[in-house]
Amino acid sequence: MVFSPPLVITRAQSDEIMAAVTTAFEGMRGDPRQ
Amino acid sequence: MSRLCLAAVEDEILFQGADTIAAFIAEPVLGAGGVIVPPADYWPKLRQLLDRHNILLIADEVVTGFGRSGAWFGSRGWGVKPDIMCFAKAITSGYFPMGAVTLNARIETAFKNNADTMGIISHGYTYTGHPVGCAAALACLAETTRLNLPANAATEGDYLLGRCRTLAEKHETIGNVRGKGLMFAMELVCDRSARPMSRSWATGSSKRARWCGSSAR
Repeated sequence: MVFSPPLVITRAQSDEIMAAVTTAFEGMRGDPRQ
Repeated sequence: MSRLCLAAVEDEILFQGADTIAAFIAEPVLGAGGVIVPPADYWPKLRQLLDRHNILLIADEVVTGFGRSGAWFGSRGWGVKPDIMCFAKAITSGYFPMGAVTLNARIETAFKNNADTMGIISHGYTYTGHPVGCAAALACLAETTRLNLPANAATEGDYLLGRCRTLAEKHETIGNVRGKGLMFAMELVCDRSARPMSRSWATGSSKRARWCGSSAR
């Protein structure tokens, strides 16, 4: 998974991205084929 | 790792013959190939190696140029001055399609001092030097300078990389996290001892991510 946020990103936007990524990984616990 | 890579480069130079090689071209950080960040001493030693064999160094800065890697240019971030750099993307921040090439004095002199027909840069494109593209580039570069975006990329990049690494500690499906500036890669794996991820896991993970509100490729 490759990502490259905009160069003007703020700390709040960084936190927003990580919140979304964290939620995604929490949802992927276990075997994703199931 | 750096020593092994440089040895492989030198083996190839010796095999091909240095006098048959015009230039070595590389991205300072491999972009679309998976954000492969070389060891910090790779580029400086690569420059030295190529100088020893009188081979030009071309930096493909299309991805890394103008701040993406946390420095103005990826190669300069490694402390290296290439002979030629090529740009696109951030030179206009994508507002207008534009590419550019810069040459150092060594290359410029070679063209200037060669007056026969082989000494001219004999290519051109319909939209070369497009005024709208140039205007967009000037405006974007002024903003990049005013906002000091390379420094922001370095600061926020370190922060995001740290957050991603913390996340990797919690999830066995994250095999590797890497990046420089504001370019990152998270390698998704079935488990860390069985890299790389199988196609079914990749497809399943992508679907799960989409279901959770994120898009992954």
